Amino acid sequence: MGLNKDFVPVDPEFLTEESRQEFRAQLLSDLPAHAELVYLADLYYAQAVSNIHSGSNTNSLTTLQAWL
Amino acid sequence: MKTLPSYNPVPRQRLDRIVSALYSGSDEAIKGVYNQELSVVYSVLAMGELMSDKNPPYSPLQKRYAYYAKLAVTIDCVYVVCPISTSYATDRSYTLSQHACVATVEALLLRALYMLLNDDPGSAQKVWGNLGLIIRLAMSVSDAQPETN
Repeated sequence: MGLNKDFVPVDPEFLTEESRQEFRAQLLSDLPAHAELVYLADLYYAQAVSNIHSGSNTNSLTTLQAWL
Repeated sequence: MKTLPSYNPVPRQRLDRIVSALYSGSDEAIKGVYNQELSVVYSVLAMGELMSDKNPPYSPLQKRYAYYAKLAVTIDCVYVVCPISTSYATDRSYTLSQHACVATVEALLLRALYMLLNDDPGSAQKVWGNLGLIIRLAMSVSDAQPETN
């Protein structure tokens, strides 16, 4: 899975439909194996969410959550 | 370690639904996955990779996942320019595009969470700026699609 240096975000207003499809195909093809995805998702839900809660830099997100 | 759903913009069941479609092998199911939902998946991957002990923190793979998350959410316009017929100084305004949806808000919230966790010293300021967009977008989506919110 090598990073294509030509594969850069641009202003979407100027993207053609063909370019959008190419970007999407690239994103789909670079998805990891299902087991790897499940492993990383488990880590995220077990740790990242808790760390966000316990961190000191969460006031803005807390406010947004309450606001929504 | 207990997780608190109130700080979790994308519940696990929601992610599982997206992943099921992506890995179903059905072209029809994959076509039904929004680019913003792809961004959600890549943001979760980036943050999971950050927590993983398989690779060092901020590894190239983790940065790639984060980059793809950013790319996926920027493929489609959220706001589009539309002409307005008023006497204001500007003759252009912005309206919600057809691509803006609840998944866009979810994807941007996860991007904000990622920014809080990464090693960028200016992340707090970036998150604060992004939250303005996210709140405005959430209001617009809520107004445009009240039945789905």
